[in-house]
Amino acid sequence: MKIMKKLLFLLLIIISPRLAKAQAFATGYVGDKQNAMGGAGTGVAIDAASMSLNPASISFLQGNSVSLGGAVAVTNTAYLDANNNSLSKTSNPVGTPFHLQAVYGIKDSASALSKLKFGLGVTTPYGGNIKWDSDWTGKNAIVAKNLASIAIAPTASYLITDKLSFGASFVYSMSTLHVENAISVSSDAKAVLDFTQRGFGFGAGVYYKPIPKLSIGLGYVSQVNSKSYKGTAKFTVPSSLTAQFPTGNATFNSSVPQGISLGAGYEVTDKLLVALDVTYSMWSCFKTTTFTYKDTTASSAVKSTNIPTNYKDVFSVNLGAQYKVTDQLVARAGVSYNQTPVPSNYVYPDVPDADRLNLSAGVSYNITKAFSVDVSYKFTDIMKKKSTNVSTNMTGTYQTYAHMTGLTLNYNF
Amino acid sequence: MKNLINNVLLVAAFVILLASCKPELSIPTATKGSLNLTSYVAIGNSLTSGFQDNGLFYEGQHSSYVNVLATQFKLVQPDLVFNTPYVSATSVGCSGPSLNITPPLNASNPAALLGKTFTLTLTVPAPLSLQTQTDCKNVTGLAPAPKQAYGDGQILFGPSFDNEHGYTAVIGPITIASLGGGLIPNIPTAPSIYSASGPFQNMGVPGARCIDINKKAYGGPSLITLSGTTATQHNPFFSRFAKDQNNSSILSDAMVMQPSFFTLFIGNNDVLLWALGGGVGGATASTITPVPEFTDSIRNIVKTLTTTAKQGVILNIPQITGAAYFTFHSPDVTKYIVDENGATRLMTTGDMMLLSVPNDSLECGLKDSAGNAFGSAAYPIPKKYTLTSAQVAQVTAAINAYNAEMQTLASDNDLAFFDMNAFAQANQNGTTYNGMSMTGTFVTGGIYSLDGLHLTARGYAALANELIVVINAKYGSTIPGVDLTKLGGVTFPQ
Repeated sequence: MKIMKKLLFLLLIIISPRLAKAQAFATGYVGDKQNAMGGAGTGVAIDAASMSLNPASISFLQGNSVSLGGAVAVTNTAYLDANNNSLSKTSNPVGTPFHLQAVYGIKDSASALSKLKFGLGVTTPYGGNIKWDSDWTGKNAIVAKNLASIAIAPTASYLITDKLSFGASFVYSMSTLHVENAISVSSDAKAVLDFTQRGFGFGAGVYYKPIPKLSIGLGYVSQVNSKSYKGTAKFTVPSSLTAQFPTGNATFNSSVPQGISLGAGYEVTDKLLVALDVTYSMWSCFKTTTFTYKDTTASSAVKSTNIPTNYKDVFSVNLGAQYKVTDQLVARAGVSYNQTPVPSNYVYPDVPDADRLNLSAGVSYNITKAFSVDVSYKFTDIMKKKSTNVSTNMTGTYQTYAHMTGLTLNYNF
Repeated sequence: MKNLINNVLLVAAFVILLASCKPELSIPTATKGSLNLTSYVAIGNSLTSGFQDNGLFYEGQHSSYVNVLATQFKLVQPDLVFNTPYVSATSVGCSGPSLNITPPLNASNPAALLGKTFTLTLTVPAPLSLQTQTDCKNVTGLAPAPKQAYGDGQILFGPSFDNEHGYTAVIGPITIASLGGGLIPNIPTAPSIYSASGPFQNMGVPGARCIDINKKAYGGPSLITLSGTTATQHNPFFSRFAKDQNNSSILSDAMVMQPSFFTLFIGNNDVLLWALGGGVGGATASTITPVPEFTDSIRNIVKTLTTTAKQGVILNIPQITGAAYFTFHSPDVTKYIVDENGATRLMTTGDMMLLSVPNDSLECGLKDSAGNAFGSAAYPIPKKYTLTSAQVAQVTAAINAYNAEMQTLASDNDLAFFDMNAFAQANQNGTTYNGMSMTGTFVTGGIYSLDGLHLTARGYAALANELIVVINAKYGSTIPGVDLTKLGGVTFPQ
């Protein structure tokens, strides 16, 4: 039975290249200063959250600090089918990416900066809540997908000279994935897959500040291979077909791309800082998604589902600025452009990605010397994209707008 | 601090404003281009009527490709009227009547009937559904079987027809008087629903051949009429909605509506009725319609239609031997022996075994009273269950000739032409629609219904979608297709 072949699509990646800018199902959220500045920050040691873009940046942070924050992400996708003119809209649950970064270094009396600094970064690098109507035209491809991830990255950075630091991090991440799609054997037949995955990776970075006004950063994150340690596939089909479908356990293994990011920051005036990041994310490691079903009762039952994805390596450019309005108040704004790794003939409705234009803004307010609050807002236009999928034959136009509003609390000591 | 609050409020207002911004794609307006859809009439056979699962029933009729087409036409022609001669929505539906006359009636020489006595049995089977069954090997699986013991014969033969027992009559002895004009006595007849619900734009009549379309009284009031020296078997599927049972032809009833646009999908039965019965004649058709006869009749139909309809689509016919009815059992025929007019021979590659063959007999080597296995030399398979490779070639040759003629007619009359044969071929190979796979595989493919010849609701809608593509291209219209994912294939038992 070929029925199962078209079961579903979902993304392999569950854990986190932190360097993936907001592309496909990467959230791109590490902190609200960065979010307000167009996602740039590899080359500016601006706060504890900078470590999630470049582990070496923490060497250039004054003192110790903790940043804790979260955002509300509202994403709406519309799809116009070219064959039957049906217009479908998602009713996605709200996404809630969050972050926690802490930096600690032993005070070195000879310098304002510590020789060795430690950090811990907790981020939600990947996420996605997409929910289409249960009877929409693409239901055989996807009805709902829920992806949640958390990456924990112990980090250390060493100040080689006053101008140069090197940092590295170890990344442990976990994620859960829930996928639902319809099966065309009856009007209420469906497949529900759930996986929990974990994997390991590492990151490294260099931070260089040749003159007081200029800083440059280079960040790298390795490819991470992760395995599902728990997975179930549940097929609800007419009882006469039950034997044709797998039951119980399922597995799927994934790889996430390595990426490299080059960033710079420049203080134009005492009050104005400009930051720029260029990131290359090697998504081409995504060729196919394969689900393997462990328990099958009939020899004719499907053993696996293969979904071709063929992602490609892409660039992102992130540009941001911050302006000190008063000693208490800092305003930020940014713009970024992310190429999509998803080729137009491999767009599936669970990741309706396209090239993205992001506009963002935010403010920080220093309530006391030690305590400050950041607020940011980002609007993303995932540009209108016409696609004919090689596997599902879905032909139509996708358009997505996303809004992310976040709040971060910082404490310096 | 007050400033901060103001700023925060300002930002909050801005955020709410932007967050309410959602993507808006607009549905393009369907346009009709140069289409003239003031009166659309569909002419065809069972495939046009929506027949499926070996039966005519309400949901099937509703899912006919012409009804789907008309529904989409209404997007650009809201006042379009497209009536289907529906059976009751509560009826199980009916298959084609099964008429058994013993000894066989020799229609070509009615004079020979004189003085003889015949027993006539008429029953109407029910449409098929997929049911869990245990076969001769004690293996339980899904297989098509009639939904119930008998179909709703009253659809074809009126309220006096006894669905459960069918109709049995002893005819004869035949006299000069009965030969001279009357009906075979007492065969129940169905009143036409035309006066109550007609006219009907869906003129799809199960069983109709191309050469039947312009036959006067094709839907005669009775199943068989003896008139003079001619015995005519009428088509009860047309009787039930003919404007005038004694005079109407399918074509004449169609012309009552002065069509401005038509679809014409006819010719399958000109080969199929013969091939279904293994090319041996009998209850089906005794010959393939000869090409010259087919040509005359299709030309006449198109000429008549185009007196009012300057627009339309002619569909060619698929190589019927690609349908599951012919292919399902055919891969391993070479181990069986067939009886061809008394001569037995081993079947060879290229011969076809028909879906009508008793499956258990094949699977388990049914034995006759002397202990000979079905398909062996001593108990050969009756010819009516097979087509020889030579007969397959005959079918192919006839279809190729019909199709060439239809394509010429379409181009000569500036009509759209639809390559149904290519559509059927694509289905055999398998297609995918919005993540839903569809193939020609029997039962599981989703396109062919349980009779292996007619389409499912999904299959008919897929056909309508492809027709719309051809119509849009020909007439500059932008009519959308329907969403196939909302339509069912074969229904699997819960």
